[in-house]
Amino acid sequence: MFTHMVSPLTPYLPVAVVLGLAGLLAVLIPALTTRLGPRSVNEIKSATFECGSDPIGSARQRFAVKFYVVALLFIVFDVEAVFLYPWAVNFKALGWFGYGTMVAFAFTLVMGLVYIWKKGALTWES
Amino acid sequence: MTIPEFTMADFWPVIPAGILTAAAIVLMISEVFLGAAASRTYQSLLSVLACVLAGAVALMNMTDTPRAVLQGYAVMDPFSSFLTLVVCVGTGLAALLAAGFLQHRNAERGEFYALMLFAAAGMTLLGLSNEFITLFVNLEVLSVATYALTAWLRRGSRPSEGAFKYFILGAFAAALMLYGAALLYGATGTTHLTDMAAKLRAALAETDASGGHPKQMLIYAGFLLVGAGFAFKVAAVPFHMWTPDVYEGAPTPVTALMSAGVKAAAFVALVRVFMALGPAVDPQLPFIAFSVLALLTMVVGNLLALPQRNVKRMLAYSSIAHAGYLLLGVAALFAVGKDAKVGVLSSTPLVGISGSMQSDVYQGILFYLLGYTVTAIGAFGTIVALERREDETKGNAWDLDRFAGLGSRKPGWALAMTVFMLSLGGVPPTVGFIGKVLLFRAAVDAGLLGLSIVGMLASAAGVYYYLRVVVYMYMRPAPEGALVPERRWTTELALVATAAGTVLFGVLPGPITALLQRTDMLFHR
Amino acid sequence: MSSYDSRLLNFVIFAPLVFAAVLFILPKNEKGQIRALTFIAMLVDAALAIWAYVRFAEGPAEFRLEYWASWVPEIGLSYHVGIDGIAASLVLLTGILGPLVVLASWTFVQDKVKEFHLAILILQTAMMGALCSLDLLLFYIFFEAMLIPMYLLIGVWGSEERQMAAMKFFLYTLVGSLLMLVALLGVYFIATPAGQHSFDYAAVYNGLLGGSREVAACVKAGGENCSLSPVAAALMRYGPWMFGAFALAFAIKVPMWPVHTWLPDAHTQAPVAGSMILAAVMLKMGTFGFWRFAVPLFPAAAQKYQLALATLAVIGIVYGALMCLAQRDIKRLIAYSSVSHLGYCMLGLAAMTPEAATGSAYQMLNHGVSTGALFLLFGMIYERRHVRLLSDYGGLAKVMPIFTAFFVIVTFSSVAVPGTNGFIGEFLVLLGTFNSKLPLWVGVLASLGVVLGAAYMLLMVQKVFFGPVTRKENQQLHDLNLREIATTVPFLILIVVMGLRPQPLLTVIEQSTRRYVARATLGPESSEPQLQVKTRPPPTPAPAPAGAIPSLKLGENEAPKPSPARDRLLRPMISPNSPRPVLMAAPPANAQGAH
Repeated sequence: MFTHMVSPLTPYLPVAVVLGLAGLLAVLIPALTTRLGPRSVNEIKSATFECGSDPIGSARQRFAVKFYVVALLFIVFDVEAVFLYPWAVNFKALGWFGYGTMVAFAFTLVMGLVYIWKKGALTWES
Repeated sequence: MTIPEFTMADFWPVIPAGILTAAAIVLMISEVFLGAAASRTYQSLLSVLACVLAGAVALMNMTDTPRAVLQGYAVMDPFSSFLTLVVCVGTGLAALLAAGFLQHRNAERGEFYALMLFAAAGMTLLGLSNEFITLFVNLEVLSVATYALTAWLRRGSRPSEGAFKYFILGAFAAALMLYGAALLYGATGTTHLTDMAAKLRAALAETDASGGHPKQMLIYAGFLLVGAGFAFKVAAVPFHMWTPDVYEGAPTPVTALMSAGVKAAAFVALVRVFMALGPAVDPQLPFIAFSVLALLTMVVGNLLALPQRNVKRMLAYSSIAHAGYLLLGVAALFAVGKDAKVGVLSSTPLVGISGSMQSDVYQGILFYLLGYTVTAIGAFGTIVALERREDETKGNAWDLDRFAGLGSRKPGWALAMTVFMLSLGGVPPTVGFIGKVLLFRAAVDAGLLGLSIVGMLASAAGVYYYLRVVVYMYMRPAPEGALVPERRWTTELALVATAAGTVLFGVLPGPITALLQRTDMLFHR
Repeated sequence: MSSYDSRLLNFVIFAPLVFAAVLFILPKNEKGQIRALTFIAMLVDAALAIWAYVRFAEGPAEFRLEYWASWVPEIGLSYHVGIDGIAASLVLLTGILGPLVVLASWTFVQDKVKEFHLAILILQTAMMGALCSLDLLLFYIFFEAMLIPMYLLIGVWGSEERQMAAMKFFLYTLVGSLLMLVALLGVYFIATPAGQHSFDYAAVYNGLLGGSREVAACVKAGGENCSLSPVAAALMRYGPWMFGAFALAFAIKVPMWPVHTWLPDAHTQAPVAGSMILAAVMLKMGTFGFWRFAVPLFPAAAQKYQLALATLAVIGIVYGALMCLAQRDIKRLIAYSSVSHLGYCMLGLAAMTPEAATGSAYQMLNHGVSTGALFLLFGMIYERRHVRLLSDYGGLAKVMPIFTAFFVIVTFSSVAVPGTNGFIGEFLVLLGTFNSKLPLWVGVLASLGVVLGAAYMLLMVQKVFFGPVTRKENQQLHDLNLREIATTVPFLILIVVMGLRPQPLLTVIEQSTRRYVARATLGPESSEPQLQVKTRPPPTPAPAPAGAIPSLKLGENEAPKPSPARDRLLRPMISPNSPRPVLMAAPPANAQGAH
């Protein structure tokens, strides 16, 4: 009898169950914490979260330049990962040519790393 | 998934850029291991060596068969190879000049040369890009490096002002160009110039339900924006406003590199993009646009240079004017109006100019670029030799008075500067004259008589301000206490090399014209 | 023609430059050595120029002593030199003047001596080159190259207002020549076939000739509905403009009224040497340019504007003379007299008759000699007194008798007294003008200029030399020294010889005159003999040591027939053992110059 009722969606039944549970939890947990937890409302807590800086006020604040350096370096090495990942997935197919290309790419980055290291960009306290 | 197949033939055109980049990395890394007091003379010499090697490879590439390489992302043709040569000549000379300049200011560091070489690598790659994203990336490589170089001497308001202007306006122009490229992509679905050219005509003709051409606006707007981006980079009027401030604010060797290399690379890329795409749309439109640009640039550039007493600023305006002459050549590429059958100027129009005439224009543009590079770097080099650090903050470091009496104080430098000024003014027997003859020959051949006459009159006005420098050098007494700082042999070597080149290529242009005498200069298929 | 003949002009052109290179390495404080070396250089060049003139003297070909070498074949630019009658005469004049210029400024220039002499030597090369060029672009290059040293001569060693005068001189000339460059490029494309574009004079001339004929015929037929060949159509449309551009460039150089205004300033401010070269040779580049390029290349346009040219020339004659009468500055006066005198040259060219053209050419030489001498002589008192006004002088005849005698003779030449050279030139020009198809008033007004000329020159002589000595400073002036006399005497000899024995020079000039008039009027002779085009020799291996030139018409450039007069002249120079007889025995075509 059940064999007649198999629809294409049947294999997704577990997914629907998980979705239902997740939705239930998502509603249940905030509801419970709101109901049961102790609360103290103050200015800092109700402010929008902005990485620790004041969301309202003059925009001309001074920042230590170190932040920018770290941010720049983060982007550089982050983008490296973006290139490395697809290469790793196709490692076999790309063969030695791909390997050589990636070594050249990585070498350049390592040189950059040596440079910033020696320049002292990685030490926070100077 | 198909794996791209590359052979050595694909890599020859990018080898010069590879050499430059490798040298830049070596310079950067070796710098951090040096003490503050260590001698850094090797840095400029290494840069020169890299430029020589890269230039030699480019020279070998000149004779190779034109073809698309790296899956059509780049092309290898004499046009781009010659640009590489010009860039290498320019960068090598600028690096020589930089040694004395930076040592005088105690600011010589490996990063300076590394940035120069990165910029040069970007320039050479810009010349051979055949795809919009590649082109944009290379444009940014060269631009970012030059922004940083402009601000190299951080103290004082002038460098910051120059660098800031250059950065903001440059980024703006790059954005315009990218937006234009995006619009063209929207209309054709490709970023490859070759494919785009093939699809543009069909895209233009596409009609919608109401009989309109929905993509027409898109394509024209795209062209306009891409053209504006290039016009900014080559400093064509009315996109020239940044030039004098940036040229004045930048360290003089960097100014030399900007006026020669950046401009040459941008011109080559401009010609490539518009020669690939322009005819597919309508040759009349780019013709009108470039004619107007050329006219404005020649006239306004020369007129604005006339009242300048600041020689560095004057050379900045003169560089605008020279961009105008080059734009005249670009306009000639799209000229309509010569009956190629009878070889005579006539009123019966044909669409476009013939292949051999195009090759004449390419020859003219490239020779002019080389000549201008050598001459302009020489002229800025003389300024390097004369300016003193103390005067920069006072703002009279580049005043005409600096040149007063130079003929008796330093006859060699004065002679060299005279040669450069005459060459910029297009007086024989200098390379500037041959360049003008080649360029205007092509323009006259294409039927641009009116523009040529205006160009000649404008350049006659130009001779006035070039000669004024000569007047000061030979006919005004030196001011009291005018000291000439002793310079290093690198600066003098650069001056001798540029002056000799200016005269030599003016008297014997044969080897270069023979090198450029090809009908397959530009590969666009 | 022997093989060294074909290279002779190269030596004439580049000898000063080679000496300049030697001079360049001399120490700058050795003023005596510098002057001596320059003088020797100029003497050598003068000797070479005289030799070229002698070797030129006869032969059937129009251009002789030709030399051709490939330069930039990609654009059809070649190094092609050769001289015809007028060029030979002007080369002679330029050559003879060279050493005199050096002598004239022997003591005058004390500052930057080395640079001064370098400039003079480079200028000599440029002038010789422009006179000998048979390639349009080559001519242009030399024509422009003259500007820089002259600009420096005026600007560095000139008087008070020198910078302004130098700049004015440079910009005036440059504007004209840049416009000419555009026209030159246009004519290059029109006249020569695609793929073989060439700046060669013969190629351009031959290419335009047929078209010019058609245009002239069309104009004669009323100018409507002619069926024209492409060249003629292009000439019809652009010819007047291109002629205008060429004419403007050369008119500025001449200078013709109304573009003459740079000349008085340049002359007044220039040092003696500058004035002499400017008056004697550089102004001739303008008239020579009309003769060689503007008129023969565009005869149809030239005929169309014949009356306009003649009118401007006559205005120049009369206006220049009237301005002279009003001058108080002696140098300015001589400068305006140049405007007037060159008006005759231009009138002679515009008249397009054989007499007038011959007179015009002769007048070019005369003006070079007499005005050059005037500037030279004035330079001598200027060196003593450093003032230029007429009122600063007076009664010099009592103080400086030799000087006065010299000056008066030169003045006679300048006002064309019979027996001096000036008479022959002006007479021939006026004769030719009356015989031409120009209206009568042109000749009448031009004759008026002769009267005015006598008036202003004699008034000047009277004010400067006669009467009482009005100024204390002038009483102590010493008369000419030996060097100054030696500098002036050659001019006096030239004045008298050219006045009494004009025939030898006239014979040489007339060879060119005939062709000029035929070309200007498109007469039947204008293509006869047709100019020879020099091109790259074919790559076939040449059996003879010197390759034959493919397009050469036999009999044109072969060795000149031996003539007793010429052999007599050459005997001192060529010994019987010289290789010349061997070369004479070789086949004529192989004897032609090697490349």
